[in-house]
Amino acid sequence: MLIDTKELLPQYLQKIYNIILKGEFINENSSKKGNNEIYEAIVSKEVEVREYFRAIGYILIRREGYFYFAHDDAPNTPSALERVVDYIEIANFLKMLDSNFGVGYRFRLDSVENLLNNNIELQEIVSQMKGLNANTNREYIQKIIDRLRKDGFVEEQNSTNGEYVVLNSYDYIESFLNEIDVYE
Amino acid sequence: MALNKNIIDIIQTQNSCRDVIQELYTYETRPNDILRDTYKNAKIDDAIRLDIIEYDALEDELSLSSDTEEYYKTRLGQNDETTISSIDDKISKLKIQLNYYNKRVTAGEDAYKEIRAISKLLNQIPTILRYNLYTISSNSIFAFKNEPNFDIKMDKLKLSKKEIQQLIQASISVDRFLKEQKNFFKSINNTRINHLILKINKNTLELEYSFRMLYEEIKKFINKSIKDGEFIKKLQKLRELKQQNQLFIKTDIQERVSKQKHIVSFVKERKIHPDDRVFEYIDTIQESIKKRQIELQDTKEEAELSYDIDELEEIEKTLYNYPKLHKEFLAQDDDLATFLYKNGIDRAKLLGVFVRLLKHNFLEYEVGDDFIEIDKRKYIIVKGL
Repeated sequence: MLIDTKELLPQYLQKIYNIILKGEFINENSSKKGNNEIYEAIVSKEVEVREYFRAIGYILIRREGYFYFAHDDAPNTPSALERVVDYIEIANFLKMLDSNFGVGYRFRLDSVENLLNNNIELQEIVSQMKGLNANTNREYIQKIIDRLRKDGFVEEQNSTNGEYVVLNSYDYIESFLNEIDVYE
Repeated sequence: MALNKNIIDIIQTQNSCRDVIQELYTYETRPNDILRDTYKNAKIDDAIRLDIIEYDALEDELSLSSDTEEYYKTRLGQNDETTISSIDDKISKLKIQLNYYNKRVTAGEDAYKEIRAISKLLNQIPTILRYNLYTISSNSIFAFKNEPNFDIKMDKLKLSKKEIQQLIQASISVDRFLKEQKNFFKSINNTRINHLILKINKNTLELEYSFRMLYEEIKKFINKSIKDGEFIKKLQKLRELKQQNQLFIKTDIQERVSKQKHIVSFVKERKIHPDDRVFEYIDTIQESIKKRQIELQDTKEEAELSYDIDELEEIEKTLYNYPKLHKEFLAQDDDLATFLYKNGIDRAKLLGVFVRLLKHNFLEYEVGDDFIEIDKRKYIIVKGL
């Protein structure tokens, strides 16, 4: 397939390439400047974008409400397994904190902190989570949310009142964990 | 002219009639002329037009409409009558009033009071049906969207499902009652009652669709919640297996990870904090120290205590004054880890600083066999010689 880059969203190619390099998701429900615009742009030229980036070794993957890029030759590093395993604890904690936690969920840090303050069992669980060096419930919540934000699963919508939204890309983790088979 | 019930009209009229509404809320009915004289600024005609207040032309009296009464009862937390079972109760009361009416007419007496009671009961039925629909709808949506506890959410949704089924049944009972009494109501031939029966029929017809929609909606909420519940169970199981170091044995997670096309960032080697690396090698470091001790004793050389620049860069360029810390440590009695902890060393760097001090000053330190735990990490007990 011949691709004419002049017709292929030239204004977005550099941005998409930067997103690939940073390993970010492209979410439809992101309000981050330009992210939603790039999502719409890819939707309008999905086949062309896929072919263009396949040529340089990346596969465009479309899921419900988000895109991401994977390596064409998919190196099977221990890092991916490690990250997924880390998320077992995080996803379990968040779902136990509020069973509504999932794509589209909106929350403020203080409201989530209140839920944790009122749940002794979860305080015990969070204190056992590896890699969270925190002293207060607020710090635990902050560190978990920072991790989600860094991995592109949540986004701060309003810095004044500290409101966050769970992005469509959180499905990447939830659907993966949901599909794991447990042998009894 | 079409009845224009926009929200601003309703609010303005309600505000102007606030005192009238308050009085009618306390008394069942009040004389029209007295109320109009007392509250001259109230838009009573508008309130009648908007169904906030009802006017009885025969008695020339005003009363609250059923909707307004229910609204204020609910607002004041006094609404204990508009339950689903109250519909059956109204039907039973209607049957009694119809019976009284019959007796009065047979005895050739005036049955105005009975007609009034029948009108009032008939008027309340659509309101109760609607009120219950709104209540179930808002309860189920609230439970689905906002209830954080899964078990409580499921209980609430199942209750809503049961209630909407009961409400559908209650609506069917109303239809059945009206059909059964069709000839009787015809014989009464009262304009107001005929109007109210038409109103009930129209309302139940409209509500029937809403009942079915809500029933389907609640079923969807329940199904979605069941899926969420299964997911929560799976996460708990995975966590349990992880804690028991059985995750890779009892699940297909490794196979799935290897087959999945991961986002680029997930297959990058993650930078591990140097402290974590150091922790992994603490036994090796101890061994090295022992060997180095022997080596130094054998060669009788002075140990080099200068910083290793590469190592320092590895701990994210955070420099500590190790010679000063070392001197302060020797001047007190706590073990090395406790001393550093109390000295306000950055928690994330504590182990790195601990190991570095140990490495550089081992000739002046005594390394014990026991450990203490700080921030879920074990530190070997080190004392100054």
